[in-house]
Amino acid sequence: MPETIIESVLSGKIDIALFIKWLGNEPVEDSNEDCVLLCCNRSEFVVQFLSYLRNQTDNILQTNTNAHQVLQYQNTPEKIINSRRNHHRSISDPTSDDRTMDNLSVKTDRQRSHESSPSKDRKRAGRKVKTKLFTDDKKDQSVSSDESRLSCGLERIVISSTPLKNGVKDHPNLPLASPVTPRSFREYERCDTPRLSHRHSRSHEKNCLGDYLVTAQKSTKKKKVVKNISNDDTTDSSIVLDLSNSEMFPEIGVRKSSSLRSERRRIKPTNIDKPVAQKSYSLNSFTSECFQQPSPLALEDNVAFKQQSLQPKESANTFEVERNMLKQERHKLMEKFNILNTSTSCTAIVTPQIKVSHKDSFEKNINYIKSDCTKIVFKDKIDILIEIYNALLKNNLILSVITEIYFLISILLSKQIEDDYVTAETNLSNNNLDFILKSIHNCTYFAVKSLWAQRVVLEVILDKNSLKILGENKKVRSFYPDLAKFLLNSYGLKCEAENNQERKNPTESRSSNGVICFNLETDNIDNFPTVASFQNFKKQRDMFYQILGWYQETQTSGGSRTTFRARIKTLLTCGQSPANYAHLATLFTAHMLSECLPQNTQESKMSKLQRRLTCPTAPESHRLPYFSVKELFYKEFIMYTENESFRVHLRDAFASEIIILDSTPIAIDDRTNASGSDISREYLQVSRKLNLLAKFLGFVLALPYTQVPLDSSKSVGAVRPPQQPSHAPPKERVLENNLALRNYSQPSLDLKGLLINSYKNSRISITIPWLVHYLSQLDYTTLRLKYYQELLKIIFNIYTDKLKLSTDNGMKKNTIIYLKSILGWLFDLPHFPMELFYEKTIQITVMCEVNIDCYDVIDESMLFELCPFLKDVNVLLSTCRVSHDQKEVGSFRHITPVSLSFNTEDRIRNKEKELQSRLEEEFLRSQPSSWRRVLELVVERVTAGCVRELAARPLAAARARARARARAHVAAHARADTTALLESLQGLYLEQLQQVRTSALETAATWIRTRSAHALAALLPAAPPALHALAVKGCLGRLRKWIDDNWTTTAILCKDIEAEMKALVSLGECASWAGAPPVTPATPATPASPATPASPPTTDLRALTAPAPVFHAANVSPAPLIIHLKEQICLLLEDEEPSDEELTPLLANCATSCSPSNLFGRLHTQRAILQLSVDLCIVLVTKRPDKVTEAFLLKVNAIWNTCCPDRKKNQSEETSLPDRRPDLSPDFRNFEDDRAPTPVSDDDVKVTTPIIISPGVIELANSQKEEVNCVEDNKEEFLEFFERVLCPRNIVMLSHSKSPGPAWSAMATFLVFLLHHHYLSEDSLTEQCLAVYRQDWPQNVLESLSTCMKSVSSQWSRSSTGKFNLFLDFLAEYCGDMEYEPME
Amino acid sequence: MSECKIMKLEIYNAIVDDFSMLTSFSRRAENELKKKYNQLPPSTLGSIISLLVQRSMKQSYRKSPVISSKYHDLYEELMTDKSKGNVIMKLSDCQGVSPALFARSLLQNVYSDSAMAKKCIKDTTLIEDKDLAYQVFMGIMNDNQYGPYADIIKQSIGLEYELRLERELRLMNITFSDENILRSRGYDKTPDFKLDVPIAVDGFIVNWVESKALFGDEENHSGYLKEQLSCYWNRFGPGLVIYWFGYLETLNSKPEVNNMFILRTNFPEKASITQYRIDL
Repeated sequence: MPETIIESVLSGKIDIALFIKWLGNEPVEDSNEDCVLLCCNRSEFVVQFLSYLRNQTDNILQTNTNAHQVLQYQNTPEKIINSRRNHHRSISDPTSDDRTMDNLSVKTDRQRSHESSPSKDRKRAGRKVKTKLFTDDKKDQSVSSDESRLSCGLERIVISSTPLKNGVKDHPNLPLASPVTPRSFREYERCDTPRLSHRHSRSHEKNCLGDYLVTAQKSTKKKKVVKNISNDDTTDSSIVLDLSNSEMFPEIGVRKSSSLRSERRRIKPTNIDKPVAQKSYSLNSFTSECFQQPSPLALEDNVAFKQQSLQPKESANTFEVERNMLKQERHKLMEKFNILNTSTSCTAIVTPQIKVSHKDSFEKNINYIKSDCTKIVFKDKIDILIEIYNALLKNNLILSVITEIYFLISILLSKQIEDDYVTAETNLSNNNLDFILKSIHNCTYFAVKSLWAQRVVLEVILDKNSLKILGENKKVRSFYPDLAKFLLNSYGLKCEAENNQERKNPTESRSSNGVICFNLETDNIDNFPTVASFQNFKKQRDMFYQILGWYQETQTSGGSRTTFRARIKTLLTCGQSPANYAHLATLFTAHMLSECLPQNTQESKMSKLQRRLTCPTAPESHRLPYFSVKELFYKEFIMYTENESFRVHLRDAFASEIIILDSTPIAIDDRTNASGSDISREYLQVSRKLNLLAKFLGFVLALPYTQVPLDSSKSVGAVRPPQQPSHAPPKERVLENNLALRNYSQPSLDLKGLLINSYKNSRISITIPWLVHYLSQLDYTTLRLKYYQELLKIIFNIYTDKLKLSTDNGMKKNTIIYLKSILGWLFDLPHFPMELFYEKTIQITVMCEVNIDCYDVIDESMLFELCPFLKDVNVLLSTCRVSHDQKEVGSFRHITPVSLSFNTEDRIRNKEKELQSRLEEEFLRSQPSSWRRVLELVVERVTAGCVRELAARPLAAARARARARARAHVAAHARADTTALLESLQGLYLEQLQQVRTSALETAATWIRTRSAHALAALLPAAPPALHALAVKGCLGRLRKWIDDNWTTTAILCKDIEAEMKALVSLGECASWAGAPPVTPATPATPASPATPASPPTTDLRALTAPAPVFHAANVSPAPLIIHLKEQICLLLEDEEPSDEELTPLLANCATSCSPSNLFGRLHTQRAILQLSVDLCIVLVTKRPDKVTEAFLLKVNAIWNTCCPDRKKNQSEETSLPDRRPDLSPDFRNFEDDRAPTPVSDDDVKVTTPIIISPGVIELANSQKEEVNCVEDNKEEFLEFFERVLCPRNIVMLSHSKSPGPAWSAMATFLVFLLHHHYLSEDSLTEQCLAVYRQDWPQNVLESLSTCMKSVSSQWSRSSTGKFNLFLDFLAEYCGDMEYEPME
Repeated sequence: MSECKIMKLEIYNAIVDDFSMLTSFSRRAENELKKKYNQLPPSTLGSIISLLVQRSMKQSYRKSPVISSKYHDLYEELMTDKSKGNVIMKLSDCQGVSPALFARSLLQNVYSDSAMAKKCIKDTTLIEDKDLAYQVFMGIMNDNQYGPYADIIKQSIGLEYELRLERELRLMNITFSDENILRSRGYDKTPDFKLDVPIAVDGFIVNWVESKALFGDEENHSGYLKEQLSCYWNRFGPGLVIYWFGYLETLNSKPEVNNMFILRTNFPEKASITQYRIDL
């Protein structure tokens, strides 16, 4: 039925106003024509209308060399719709009830389409190649009245584009390209074969209204009828077909055609000889095939065609083969014309390529007609079309407005080939309305005027350069000057806005440093179930970054990525507990969010320049969902993670993050101090994150259904991973099975609920974009599951009902356009189930709150950032200019120069400023996230409080003050001229305003400090001072902004100065003095001293921060001293002379360094120095006995004394024996008896310590933390060095002395010195002697030792108890000559 | 000062070459090197030598009872000879092992109790065998890289420079959390100093500071990078590493340097530090 409508409307049978009403879904009064409208589906009509437009403009668009690269994807929505719908019907889907036109049973239908599809595929592809060779629409026209052709058209509508669908199947990456590609080449090969015209009609393109008319009639009939007609048709076409033989058009590429033919032939045999099917389904494909076949074959084909459907199974295999061949063929062609999406793997196709690049030679021979506004005919009819078109767009009956604009602009930029033009003209002059848009003039008029109708959208989606280009376009100027004016005007506005904006917010948030900071709250050990898991995650975190670093490295260096999978595997096996996966997923998510969001403009100056210099200028299309270079890592990571458990955690992490972000309050009424740009920025932040997360969530969810097992032996890196075949429709049967299997599964997020909720809360501008990204990632089948169908219906409903620019629904224009574009993008995706659009059933009616949707949040830059595909339109415009002049497609970009301030002072200041803000950010990032939220909250609340406070007090006071002054002023100048008085009053108020502004900020600053300090102290007691500063800074910034925004005019002091003046004048002097303003001076509260978590200052700290001279004097580094001391000993051992100049300061330094106040000192360094100094003495005694003087010993004593300050003094003198051994000898008499057992115990290592160390030692010991516990032992140990002075080693050393006599006597001096200074006790010495005597020694050593002992005894006698001397003497006497025998 | 601590590769290579010519790991050989490169700060050269010795010891010294007893046999053999001299020194030189390590190996063979062996190495006066005691003493005294004194020196230097760093931070009023605090809070990796509020050094953001009281060459740097520095980076962001005794100039061209962290040989001058201003 819809097919008749266009005709009727054009011919005036249907009133256009009525019709528009019908389109707008308004009730239509009853009239004759209504019956047509009433029994027609609006959606059907939309589809027909669009395809009508496309067909009309076909030949014109061909001339547009720029357009095709993008157009291929979008050009023919109606076909997709058809194909989809048809396809949909064929599925036994319980949910689809409105199969209005389908009379066939589901089952048969499906079968047929399934069976017939292969042949269609083949034909389709073949046709495509062929079409290149034949270009004509004109011919179609000529034959358009033909019955047969008409029937074809009809059939197409009913059964529609199965072939297209197949085409999609064949070429997953470029599903929609198929119908378009051929067209773009037609022009070159169009040749003069009028007979070919049949082809066109058969190839499902309705070229004229007649088609629709007939179809309409036929459509009511049963399929059989259709079939018959089509059969007739086929015979017709077969005759014609001979001409289409490629050989007839050698110029186009003989080689090519022959190769194609050969392939075609391969295909043919499978079809031939099969019994004829009754289905009319294959008709379309058949016709198209006919064209490609040489005529005799074509005839056979017709026959074969019928048979084919009956025996589909047998041919299936061959079909597969053929399909593959065709697939490759098409792929090659696509490649040729650079229309392959970057992400497709072109490498898979190896077959030789066909050269198609003949266009240059052709172009030269072809004359183009340029549009001319004076030659428009049937203007009124075109206007009707425009009106209909506009109504469709306005009512959101067309899925993608952007596509339509693209289409219109493409027309605008096209020329027409002369031959086409002539045909069109002649037809038009014959009043043939079928050609109404076939002439370039009419067509351009249509385009320009339709664009005018869409100017509101244009203004938004075009960037300023495109606006300018389009506005300056000669055609636009001549066809519709108003549009040109409008465009240039909005260009001016955009420029202006841009300048303003640049000044306003020069910087956004800076890029991250690529690190997710360790978050104390979520990452510390308490967040892990076990220590092992914590430790494992430590490794995993590092490994993750290693992998990331490695990946980036291979990206730049082009290294192989073969180990990617192995690395991920290692990472995941490193910690396999669920907790680890969860943490890893969180880290992954956080990292992805921080890494993948676009960088701000500020820091990218350098990279911008670099990009301009290094990157090719070829515009990339964003038609299909894609992953940016940075996102690729995460995508591949997920793909190569063959760990379902981790993926589930990842999914949870994504989903939870989405939920949080989706519910982020952005525009709450309560936020009085948030300005528009704040909301915008925040919105952009949130939206970006959501889009990213949703995209990945969709990816993860679709992965199990789309991922083809990777060949593990094959390298994964280097080449980009293959694109998922998700865009290709699966086999019918497969799809059906999958649907049956999965129809009741639900996504991990309650998407429907979220969407409806957000609709209710007017937050769809947040929810819909991410939902779109999510859906775009899903696979073909998933999108057709019951759940998603319902979801999509809700979306469609929102699209058609809510997103209309005309109705006042509280949404801002930009927001609507944004949502429309992004939804249009989704609807246009190849795997999107468009057919659902026409089955909307759900009606949501909700009242909407005022929320984010009602705010003006979307600006141009955001629009382009969030919808990268909008660039396609702009690119189309900006590239066309050049390519029209020069015959090649060179792109042309407007480049805004990158500027740099040359004022050094400025730069330094900026640098400092930038550094500060970077520090701030870095600081914030390192804080736990909860702290950040608290900070945000505090800033928010404190500012809000201050705003209230300001309005309540200082403002009120200022009002009163201003009023008083005004009164005084009026009183003083009562006689003055009113205008002068008014002016002076205004001045006065202005002055008052300034005053109150400055003073308010000052008072507020004080409040803010106290309040935020209190708040932070209460909420975050451990917050460092910097956090307080940040809070204050944030508050002040917001407050300043608020004051700037709100306290701008004197209105805040006095609404109407003039009225006030009049009142004051009339009141005169009797005006009562208003009460003095309650100026409550803000309490000059000192900002609460930030709670420093630092420990109370200790002496340690004071010493540490002492001024340099003091510090360096008191703190001597022990390490070099030890080295030196050791070196001196070594030198002595090697019989070299140590100089006093070196030794003296060294020993002095050693003494200082051993002092407990030396921060660098440690117990073990003291110990080492002590030990070495004792050794030094021994060595000196051995080697240079003459140097062992009292002076030297005193120097060493300084060291020892600091090391061992607590020596038991003079045990012998004090008669303190009871203290020492009360238990053993109560009467203190039998000393010798007591001592006797000691020597007998031949364990000379375990010398009992004669000194009891007082507990005070512990306190005096070095205060360094880690050593405290071992102080006691170590300190005690120190004196042990002296207790082994007479150890075997030293005696050996002494015995090696070159001058034994002096050495031994020096030793005696040394020992006496030790005794004297209480380093050595008498007991200890006797014990040592005994121990020595127990070993075997040469006679001379024993003698020397005895001499030495005697000497000690004699020198010590004065101060000693007699017993010790006696004992020593005895030992010396007894052992001096014992010669081995006494022991044992 | 700090410039000369960033060592040219040629000089470093020359040192390595000279080192590889040495026939002994005793202090005397080292002193010769030191004399040759006396224009370098002694601590720098000492650190380089120390690293080189450690690396060659990794190759030539094995801790095993078999080798210990073999060493002991050699020792016994030489000790029977009357003209003793520095037996351990001689043996260690001909075994290509540092004297202190040789001595330790010997003691491990003598004392079955490894705790006792350790004690004796620490204090040679405890060794009963008088000749062994003397020999071990000589061995240890002549070894600058191994033995108790060397250990103490290394440990002491590390602590000392951490303290110096802490002093600088405190003088600048830069607040920080040290390793112990961080560990008590449950951090998994802890740099020497994690700054509470980041600072900028010559425009580079610094979140943490790691003190390395040694010379940074390629080998130990890459070790630290893997074990510590990159871990700190991926937890706390960029930081500062101080190689107090200098580092090899080639480190400056490593991708991670000036990216994950910057290298210095001293605590940066006050002028080059930008602190986050807290002007309330």
